[in-house]
Amino acid sequence: MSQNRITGKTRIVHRHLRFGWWSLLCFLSLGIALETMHGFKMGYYLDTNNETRRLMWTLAHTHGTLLSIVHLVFASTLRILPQENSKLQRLASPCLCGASILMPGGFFLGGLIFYGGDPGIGILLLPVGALLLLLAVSQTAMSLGQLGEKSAQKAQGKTEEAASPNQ
Amino acid sequence: MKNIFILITLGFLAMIAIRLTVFLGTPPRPDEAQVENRPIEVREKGFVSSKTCESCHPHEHATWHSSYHRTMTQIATPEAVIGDFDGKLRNCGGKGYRLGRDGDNFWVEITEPGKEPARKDIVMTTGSHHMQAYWFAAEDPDKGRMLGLVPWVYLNLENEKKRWVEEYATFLHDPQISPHYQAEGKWNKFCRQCHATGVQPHQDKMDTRLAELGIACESCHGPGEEHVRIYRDPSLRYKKHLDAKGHDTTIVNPETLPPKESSQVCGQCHSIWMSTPEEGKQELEGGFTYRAGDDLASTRQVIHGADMDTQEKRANLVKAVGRRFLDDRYWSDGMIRIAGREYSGLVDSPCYTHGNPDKKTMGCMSCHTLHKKKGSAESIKEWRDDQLGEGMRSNKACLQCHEDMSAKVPEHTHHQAGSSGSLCYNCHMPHTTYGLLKGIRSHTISAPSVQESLQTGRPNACNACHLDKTLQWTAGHLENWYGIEPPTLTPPQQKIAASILWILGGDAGQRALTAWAMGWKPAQEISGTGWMAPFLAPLMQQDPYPAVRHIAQHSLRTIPGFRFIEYDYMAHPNQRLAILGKIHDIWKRSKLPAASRKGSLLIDPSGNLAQNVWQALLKTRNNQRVNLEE
Repeated sequence: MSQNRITGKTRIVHRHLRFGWWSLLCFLSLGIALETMHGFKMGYYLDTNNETRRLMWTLAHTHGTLLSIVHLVFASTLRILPQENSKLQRLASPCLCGASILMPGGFFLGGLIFYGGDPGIGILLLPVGALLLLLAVSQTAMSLGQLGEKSAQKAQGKTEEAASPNQ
Repeated sequence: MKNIFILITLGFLAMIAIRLTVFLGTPPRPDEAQVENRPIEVREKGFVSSKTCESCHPHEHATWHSSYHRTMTQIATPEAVIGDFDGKLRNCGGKGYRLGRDGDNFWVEITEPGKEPARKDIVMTTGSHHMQAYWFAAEDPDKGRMLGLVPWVYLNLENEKKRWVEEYATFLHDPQISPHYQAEGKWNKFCRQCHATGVQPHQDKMDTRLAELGIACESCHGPGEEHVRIYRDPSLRYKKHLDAKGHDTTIVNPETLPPKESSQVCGQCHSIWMSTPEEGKQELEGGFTYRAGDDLASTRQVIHGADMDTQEKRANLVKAVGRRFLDDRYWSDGMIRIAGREYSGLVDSPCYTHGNPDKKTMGCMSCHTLHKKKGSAESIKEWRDDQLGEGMRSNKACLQCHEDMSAKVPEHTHHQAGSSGSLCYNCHMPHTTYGLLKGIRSHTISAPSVQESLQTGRPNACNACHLDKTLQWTAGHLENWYGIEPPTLTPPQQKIAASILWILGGDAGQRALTAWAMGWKPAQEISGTGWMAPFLAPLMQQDPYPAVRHIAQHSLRTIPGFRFIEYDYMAHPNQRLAILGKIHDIWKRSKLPAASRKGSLLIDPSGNLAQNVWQALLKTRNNQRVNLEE
């Protein structure tokens, strides 16, 4: 039973490590692609009439990259938790994955086809992604509160053990 | 681990510090409400300014921002000022003007005999394309926000040396009175009518207030307050984006207006008009009531050819505005002869009066586009020169209506396909209006007519290009090709090239247009240039109109052998005397083609100029005062 629980948490940790590093690769590549378009002064990206595209794709790149790092941080957080946390594993993890697809995806699609200063209709993915991210982050933050309590209990237990060595 | 967090925090703080430095390092524009010495920008009467439009319409904003409409009036900042404020003293009309700068501030020091020099702040600029004029603050509490004009402007013509020149010399104005012209209050009373957006003159106190300097978005789209308020709601914006055919009632878009209404938007400035009495009265306080999309005729009478096509109508108009007013703006048949008033010309064109609103023809937007199209191959620099739509420099402009002509253009024009003579507008929109030191295309779309040249003195399209041909030659071709009955011509009109008759014997307006045509590439290609110098020379030497001298020297410099000739068109007449001899010397040394040695060009087969005829024509020059109020 204990072996299974450890396997479940590790599986989630591995998932986020894989997701984080692969998406980091993906969004850093997008960054390189954007820099290349800068280098070759491509009108499709740089012209004043494509300013909205430039903004949206830059935002897709930054959000994607930062969310990739959040995955790695999430994996680390999950790893240092002393025991299984079903809320984190069942809710925060898929929410974070969804946000990491919807947010940069929304920005990217919003810049693909746009209306003057307004991004394209793809930008509607963004608020959904933002909501998922909010859920994921709030769940994680709340779990860390439990971590504090559990660590304190653990530490207290150790102190008590130390105080009565003969028991 | 702790060190990494400290490093990241420091990095973020450094980025914020850099952003703040950049932001704070930009000198802020003074709060308009605190400005007392010039007209100020206010957000009133529903105007919101172009800055508000930018966030939703970046492409439109960017193309407008790069246009000369925006730079028509600017605050005199280092970014706006193109003149060389070198601190040198220049005189005009008995006063001295020293133009200088302290850091970002520009000033003019005015000296008058018997008075202490007065230093005034330069607060505003006009123009940037061909020239830039400067306005100083009157700084007199009794004069409100009144501005004075520095009578020196900075010429910024392409392929010419940039230089300061007296303001009067940049117009075709009566040279006797121009240098003494005082322009104090001119901007507040006249220029503001079209060189700014949403103006409230409050003329009794000279408390000039406006929505925006320059010709901005709301000049053509109307006040944007309601549009901005409604479209703050993203759901409405996206509804509009997804329904491309949906009509937006919150703002005017001249592109979607019927052609006549759309042209009136341009016509509010690009025309000559008289306000109705009610409008005239209220205009002095609150500004024009016309807004884009309104019926222009309800507040103004645009004066055009149809208002003077009979003796009676002309006499009535003379009573209303004065003969001089008409002479300074129109050819004698009512066709507009000054630039910048194209709408007054367009409305007399059959293409406009018989246009097809379903096809959106014909109006200003049939050929012009005020926002360079996305993806257009043309550069901003090319586009902004005349703001033509893509392909509108070709026959596409006319063939969008006259589709039936597309297969028979050479047959109709009797000119080789693809040649300049086969371009519709070269025959139907010749350069017969004058402005900005050059010939500009007529916007009254008409057919070439020798009769009209005889009646009005206006160069016809054929002789404005075939500069080496006579009126008789043109009349013969128009009869053979189009069955137009030839008019009766005098012996000189039969034997001497029309351009020579106009350049030696015409009035200042005809001389300017003909001299300009001698520098026009298509005319040079078809007429040759070898024979032109002796006819440009007398203009450069003795023409009393500086603008004519300027145009003559400009055209001469395009002729091989004369590019580097030393000449200053504003030099004292005595200094200009030598230019005639200099030009003749170079011309005599050049090899004149046999084709140019002909009687119609006053040149004999051995290459000598018929001096007696040349002199006789000079003596017949029409010295009637010309004052073209462009």
